[in-house]
Amino acid sequence: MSTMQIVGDGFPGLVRAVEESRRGARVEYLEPRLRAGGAMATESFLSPFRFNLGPALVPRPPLPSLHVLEPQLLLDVGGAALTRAALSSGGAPELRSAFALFRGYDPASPEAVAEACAGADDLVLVSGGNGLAVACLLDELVAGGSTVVEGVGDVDPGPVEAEGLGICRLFVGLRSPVRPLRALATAVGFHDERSLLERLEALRDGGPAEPLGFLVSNAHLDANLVEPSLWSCVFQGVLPFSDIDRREYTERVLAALGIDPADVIFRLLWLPQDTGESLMLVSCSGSASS
Amino acid sequence: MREFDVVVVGAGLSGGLPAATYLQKAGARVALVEQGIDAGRFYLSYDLLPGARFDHSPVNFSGLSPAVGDLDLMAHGYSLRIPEVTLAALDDTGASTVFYRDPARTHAQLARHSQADADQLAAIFARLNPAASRLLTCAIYTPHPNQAAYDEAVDLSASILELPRGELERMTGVQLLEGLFESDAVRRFLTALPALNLFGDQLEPGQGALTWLWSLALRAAVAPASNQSLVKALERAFVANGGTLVRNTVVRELLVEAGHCVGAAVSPFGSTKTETLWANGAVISNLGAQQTAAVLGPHAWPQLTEWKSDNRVLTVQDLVLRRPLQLPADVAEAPRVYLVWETWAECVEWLRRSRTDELETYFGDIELTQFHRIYPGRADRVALRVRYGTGPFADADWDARRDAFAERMRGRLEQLDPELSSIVEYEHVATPIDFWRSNAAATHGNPIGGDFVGGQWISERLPYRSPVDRLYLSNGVWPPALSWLAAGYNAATVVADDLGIRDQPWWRHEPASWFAGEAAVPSLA
Repeated sequence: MSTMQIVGDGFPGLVRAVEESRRGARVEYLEPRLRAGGAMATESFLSPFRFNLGPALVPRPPLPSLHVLEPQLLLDVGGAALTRAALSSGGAPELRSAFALFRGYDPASPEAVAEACAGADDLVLVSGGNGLAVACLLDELVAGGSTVVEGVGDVDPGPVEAEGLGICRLFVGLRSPVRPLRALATAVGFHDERSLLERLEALRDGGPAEPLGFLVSNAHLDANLVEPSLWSCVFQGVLPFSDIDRREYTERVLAALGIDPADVIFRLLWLPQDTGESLMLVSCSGSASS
Repeated sequence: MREFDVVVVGAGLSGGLPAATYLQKAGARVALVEQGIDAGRFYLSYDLLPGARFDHSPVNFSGLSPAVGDLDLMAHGYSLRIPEVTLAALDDTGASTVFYRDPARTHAQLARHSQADADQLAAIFARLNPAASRLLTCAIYTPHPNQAAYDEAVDLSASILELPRGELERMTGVQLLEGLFESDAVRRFLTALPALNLFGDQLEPGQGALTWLWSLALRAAVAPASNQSLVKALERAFVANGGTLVRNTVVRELLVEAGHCVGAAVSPFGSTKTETLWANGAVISNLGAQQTAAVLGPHAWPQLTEWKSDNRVLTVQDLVLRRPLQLPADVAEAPRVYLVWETWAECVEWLRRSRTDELETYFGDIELTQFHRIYPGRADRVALRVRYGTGPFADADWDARRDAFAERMRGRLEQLDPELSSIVEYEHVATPIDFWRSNAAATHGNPIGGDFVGGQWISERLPYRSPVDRLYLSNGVWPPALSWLAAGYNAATVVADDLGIRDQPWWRHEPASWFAGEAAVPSLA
């Protein structure tokens, strides 16, 4: 049996390791970071909740036994709904820029919007969290005779150096639900394509850091909580890569979401320099790039 | 429907996970059911912000466990090192003691308070070190109740302390320290660490004195790749040996037929659909007394359903700072720093009050973990953990207390570093009820979980074998906070004995052998 070494490289690196293992190779998989799988991480921190650190909606992981969900109602933008069916059939053109932003693409770029909406049929939610897909793939590797060691690198290489706009995420845990969410993600700070692009332009021009993004349902991660009244969500927003007062911005987002701070039992804001995610454009080869 | 030899429900670090790993390696076909994505939830690590790494449980004495050698954990990514500075204790007057890996340096620290006390502790260590492995075997890595092992542990302890056995069995921890050490400061600083785990149990006759000594047999260490490497090494050893790790799955019912426990009905996360995991040989519950009783239903027995715990609880405050907290120079080097009482009388009073529900008690003994000393990261993003106990059961009022406790504790830290408020980038407080919300098996809000309990000495613990045939329990070790895989080791021992698979050539390592072989502690000069 041949042995090959693979060092990290996020979820694609892990998938490559599993594919090599399935082909009969023995893999030494070394992960510099605390956990393998890159953005496909699910974390509880020191809270009762589970949060996906990266996008909620992800390409279907290569694990047929994994329980995944295919939400039909993807976005709620000012009362207008974007369904999976409409997206697949080329409908709802006025909501495609919002969907692009939801996926982390730059909605001001027609190429990026097209890229974001292509292949949407294969996007799923992993029941229980994206980290479960990673854990199951690692189990498969180890069961097949490969070895896996995580955390072999430095704690953190340092601040992300980037300019322009990026993705922030505010992870929120509450002791009571906010309100029923009819879609996977609800627009915050804009109500249609025009207002989205205007607000985005204002942010690019150094305007005030008002909440702009989506309230993302965490229902597929909240099952089995000890108290049924517990509820969590993620605000996925857009901010410049610059110093933002975490406390002040968090308070603004909670106010925009209509959340009573007294109900909050966990809150954690990752700024763009923490997520490391720039708004994606489309490269010449057609693959997304930051 | 799937069929196994052994089904283990609950993959806690100390109980279910090592039990499953031992039995799988011994040749049983084992299914390990865990409600979370990962096993060992209360021992995972996390980056609260990139560059600020925390451990759920900021201690690591795992090097004393025979599992490190038995299960070949180093081949599965486990690593450990002993820092040159292990811990420090500091009081409000600025008096301190730093404990080093090098006993000579620790001796010099204690000698600043009392030469006689420094010599006394060195002498105790000189007698303890060669006996530590046997002492841990008899006291912790034995499925109790076992009168012969208990007697040997007490005899060894009496010999180490040079006290008559009968006298030792009547002494509290306080009486022992007062008899051994003349200095107020030495007594306080040697109480700081066990006090945060054992609280007022140190006032129990016999139990208090013995547990103080047994906690000295531990050796603090750190895992360079994060504490969760212990969890991951166990997970991978289990899976590599052919074990079936059923992640993200909830136990609905333990199945009992004709008086035998025969399996578990389980459901995937978020689903009501159930699957039966049949167990031909044994079912091990790591769910704690209350949860085990709930899933056993009418088959639960009185001792299980009536099991009461008065375990004390911890609150945890995570801070991300823009620079390290200002501490006295020698103390600042320590990964863990205990802020303790100004006098021995205050310490004794705190131990007494820790058995009550007085919230003020929280601010008596405070543990700081300076994670940047363990996991060096960004200079402008320093991870600091503040832990404090004790208090009442996880009642519903904790959400209302959260902010008040955080503010009060910040005030305490500002006494050390007046600029604290300007260097806090992020803060989160996890209260006892949050731990219970994280895992209902952590009934009393302790991140250690399970049915661990104070005031119930070895012989009164829940036994590993239960009144239901083929049902075993894996969370019954004293002292609970110091067990280090012992609950699972003992449960696996009992089950392997009953299945006739205990005699394995690899299952022979002694406790503390890792320290003896891999990380030898320098002898006192």
